[in-house]
Amino acid sequence: MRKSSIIRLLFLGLILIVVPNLAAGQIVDPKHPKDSKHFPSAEKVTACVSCHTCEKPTPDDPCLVNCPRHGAHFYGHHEVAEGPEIVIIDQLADLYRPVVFAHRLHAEMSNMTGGCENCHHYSEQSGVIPPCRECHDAAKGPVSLNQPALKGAYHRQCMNCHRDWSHASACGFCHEQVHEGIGTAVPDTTDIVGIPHPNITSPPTFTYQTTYEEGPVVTFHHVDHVDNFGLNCVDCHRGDSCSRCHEPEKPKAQKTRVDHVTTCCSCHGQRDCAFCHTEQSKPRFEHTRTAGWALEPHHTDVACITCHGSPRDFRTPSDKCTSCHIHWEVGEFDHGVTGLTLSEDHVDLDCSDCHLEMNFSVRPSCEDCHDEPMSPDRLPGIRK
Amino acid sequence: MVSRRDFLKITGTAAGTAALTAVGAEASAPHPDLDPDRFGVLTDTTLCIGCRRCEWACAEQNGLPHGDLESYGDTSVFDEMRRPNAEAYTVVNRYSPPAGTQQPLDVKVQCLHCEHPACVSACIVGALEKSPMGPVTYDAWKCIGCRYCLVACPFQIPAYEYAEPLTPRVMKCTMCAERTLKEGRAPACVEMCPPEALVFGPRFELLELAHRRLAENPGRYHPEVIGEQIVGGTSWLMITDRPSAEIDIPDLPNESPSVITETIQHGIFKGFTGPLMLFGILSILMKSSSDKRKEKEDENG
Amino acid sequence: MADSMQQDNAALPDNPHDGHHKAQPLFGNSAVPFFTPGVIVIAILAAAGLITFAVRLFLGLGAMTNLNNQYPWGIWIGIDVASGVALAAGGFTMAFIAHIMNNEKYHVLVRPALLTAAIGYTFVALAVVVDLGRYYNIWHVMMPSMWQGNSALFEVGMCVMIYLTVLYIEFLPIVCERFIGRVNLPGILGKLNGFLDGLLRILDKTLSRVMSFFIIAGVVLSCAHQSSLGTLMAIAPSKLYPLWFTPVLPLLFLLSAFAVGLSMAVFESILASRSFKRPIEMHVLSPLARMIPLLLVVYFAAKVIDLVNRDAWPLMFEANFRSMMFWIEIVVGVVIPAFLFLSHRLRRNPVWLFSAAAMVVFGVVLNRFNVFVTGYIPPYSEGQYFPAWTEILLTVGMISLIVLIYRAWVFIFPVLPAEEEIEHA
Repeated sequence: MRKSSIIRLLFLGLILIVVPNLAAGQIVDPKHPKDSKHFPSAEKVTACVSCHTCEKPTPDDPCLVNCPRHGAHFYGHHEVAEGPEIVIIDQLADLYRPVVFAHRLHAEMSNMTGGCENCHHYSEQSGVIPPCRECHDAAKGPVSLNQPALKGAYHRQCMNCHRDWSHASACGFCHEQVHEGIGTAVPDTTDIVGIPHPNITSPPTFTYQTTYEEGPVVTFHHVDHVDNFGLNCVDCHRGDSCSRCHEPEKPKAQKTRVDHVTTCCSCHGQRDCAFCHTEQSKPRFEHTRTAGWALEPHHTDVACITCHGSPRDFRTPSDKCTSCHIHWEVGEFDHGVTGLTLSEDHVDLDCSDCHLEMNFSVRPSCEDCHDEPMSPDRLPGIRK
Repeated sequence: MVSRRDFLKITGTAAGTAALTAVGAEASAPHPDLDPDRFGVLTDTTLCIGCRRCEWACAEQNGLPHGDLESYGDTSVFDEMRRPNAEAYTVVNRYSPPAGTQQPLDVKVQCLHCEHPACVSACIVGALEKSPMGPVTYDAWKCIGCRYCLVACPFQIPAYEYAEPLTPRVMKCTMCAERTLKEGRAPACVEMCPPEALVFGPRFELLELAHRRLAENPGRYHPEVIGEQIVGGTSWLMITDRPSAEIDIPDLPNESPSVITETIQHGIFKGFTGPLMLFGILSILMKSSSDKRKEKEDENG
Repeated sequence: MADSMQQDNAALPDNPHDGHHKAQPLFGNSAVPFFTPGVIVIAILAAAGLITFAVRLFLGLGAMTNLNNQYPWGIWIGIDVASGVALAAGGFTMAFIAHIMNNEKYHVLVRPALLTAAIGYTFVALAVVVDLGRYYNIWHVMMPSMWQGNSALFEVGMCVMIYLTVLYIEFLPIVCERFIGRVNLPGILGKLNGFLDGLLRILDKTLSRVMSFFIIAGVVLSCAHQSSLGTLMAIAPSKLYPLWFTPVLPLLFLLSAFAVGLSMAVFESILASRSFKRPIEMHVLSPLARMIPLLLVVYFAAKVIDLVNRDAWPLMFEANFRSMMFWIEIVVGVVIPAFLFLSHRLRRNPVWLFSAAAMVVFGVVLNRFNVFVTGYIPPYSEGQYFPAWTEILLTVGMISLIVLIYRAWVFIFPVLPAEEEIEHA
């Protein structure tokens, strides 16, 4: 009896000594590199099974588990401003030009939901985020079936949200083709409310009450600026942040008066105060009233900048037709649009034959060419 | 005159021949010659973005008519359901988003490269072949143009160049056999796929991968790997967010359609037992009837 | 030509194989001229069919048919090939009854049935050629390096090819009989007359010794490919409407081939007699017709048992186009003729006998058409297939050509029994 219980004790002791060492042996492999990936800190030892599926991973066959996409391997917190503003993604630029990735903008968006981990699913313990290509091989096929190669990793990262957002998978949105001539323009990355953003509905008119006594009311017709003046969102909203609209509860930097004035004055800088500050609210823009020159009927579809240049560089064009229509030649111009359809005898004449010195503001008279006024209506054609 | 008894004999032998057909429903699932490491492709339709780059890459690789890359950005083709045809081995169809989500489901259609392909079993001259490494390939030189493969395919994949007057071919995805088999490279569509919704590799590994994805994202997927069982398995696998019937995959049994015909064929013609038996029976019948006739004639005089 | 024939045929020897039965060419032995208005119409149709055939070989399937990726097989397969093979079953069924069972009485029907089979199968082969996209590759089927034993089509192809050869061999004695003692080449070739005559006699003798082998082989081959024709569509269980799809499709095809073989013999015999203004051979046709109901009942029973066994019978009572086709096929093609054939009185009436036989023929053609065309429902189909006019023209033209060639053969070769035979009976 005694003998057997001693043996039992010895056996138990043996187990107690050997087993922990066996277990530890799996982790503390003397040949294993003591890198931060496996030994993030002195206290913390990553359990093998959290990354590897097999007992003895080798460099050739690391038998990695699927990387947990969210959180598990991400340490630390980063401010939006810490990241780069723009990242040029050019590792796979054979078919397309490098992609210009507005990192800051995306970081800001991400900050409103899941933070950096929305995209960066891994960081070293120190908080350093390695570039995607360090794990995701740029080689054409995936190295391991469990892990997408670089191309797949990028696309899944981007398309996951972009499809939800715009339901589009137009490659040209991010990519410009390498081949000449068929490239699509890279969008303005500071334009956060531009094309990719789902349609934003804005009130057509904002009316501000100001403390400026001589003209307390400032009427801003947003609809005119967007629909008629052809401004892009980014022309005024440059530098706006996502949270301005998406996190209304979040305290935001109040725009000062000067901010407004600066924005408006970037175009309207030459105007006096009364241009904006009025006693009553201003009606919407009407070309006839403002300029004394009706756009109807032939100029309604002409963009403002065609005649007036860019909003910042506004110019008043001459009222002479030739100030714009300088390229018309005989036969090209349909005189009928003026309301007077030329008769057969006149239709082939040069413009300058009647409009002397191409001065279209002076009405031609029959006597310039003919000895006496011509019947029936002293007109070279039929007026509609 | 033929007696009723004789007639029972006729029908009896006939029934016997055909009865052989019904026996022996030996399971046929994977082809016995298949390599255990044979290739396959896994389509994860939930990753597909409907960019149609695979269509372009396929056309480019296989010398099929195609426009430039950008022309494949046209999404108006999704307005109607398309099928692979003589000018496109693969097409992508768009299905409406599942309830409560925004993303539509895009499904690439191409030959699934059955493990036990009915088209190969049907082909009269062996122009269609199942490579032990997975792809089902076509040899236009052998083909006589009977189109029995089109009749046999349960997925209605092979297309025919009807417009070609003298040298029409059967057109279908070959899993880019000249790349996969000779160079070990992935098919053109797989290599092109931007989000790697297509993965090329050994079929058994792809099956593991597919099941792992199903297990890890139960909400994302319908719990079925299309191609694991259907028609005895296919080399091309697919996982998706909805039952296969909703992406227009026919409801098919887990047994190759060719099992029936092959059982019949082998049942009757293995070693020519059936025909030889029938030949023997008929010879005996002929001998005995002519003997009988002679006897009769002798009796009569 | 006809004149010289008439002289030649003045006295033909007795057919050495058919014992005391005597067959005669119609030239010189019939009051009916070769060309009648009806025959001219048929000849025009046949010419149109031949032109369509030639044009198809150069223009391709897309230009000449309504076939597409969903419907790869149309009436050229469903009617010309499948029905053609079934209707040519008269050849082997009559060979079985007359030769294998040694039934003296029916020997008069063997030669016409044999001729129908030979012409029928020749045209089946032509129909296959016209339907093949790469018809010039058809020899591939014969190359052992390309044999594909799993394919039912391969089996059908090989069997039909061999059987066609067997049929021609079975037909050779008739050719020998026609020319033995009458080889008369013109001019200098006349010196070969004696030699050729000798050759024919040797051939005839050899053939008569080995003929029983070919007769049995013919029956075996026929059973094999008649059933394999059914196996063809058994590869598409998911596409063939359940009223027709069954794993025992080959059995059903074989059983219906038996029934239609005999019906076809009756049908064509009466038709030929009417056309050539000869007395109808009721003394053999009536007893022959007595066997048909049994075959029909066996076929019907197999079909019913199969439908019940597969639980497909409720589909019969769904009101749609396919169930209607099925009912027509069964009622008109099997049930009604079975009853007609059973009646002793109607069997002795040529009109009723002909109608019943025609119904069976119609029923089997409809069955083949249903299995290959109507019942074929591909997934993703964009609309039902309907044959193009060129497909119909070729089919009609081919059938006309068969009729024309049959007529020409019986006029030139001793196929039909001499009229006194029938009158004496």
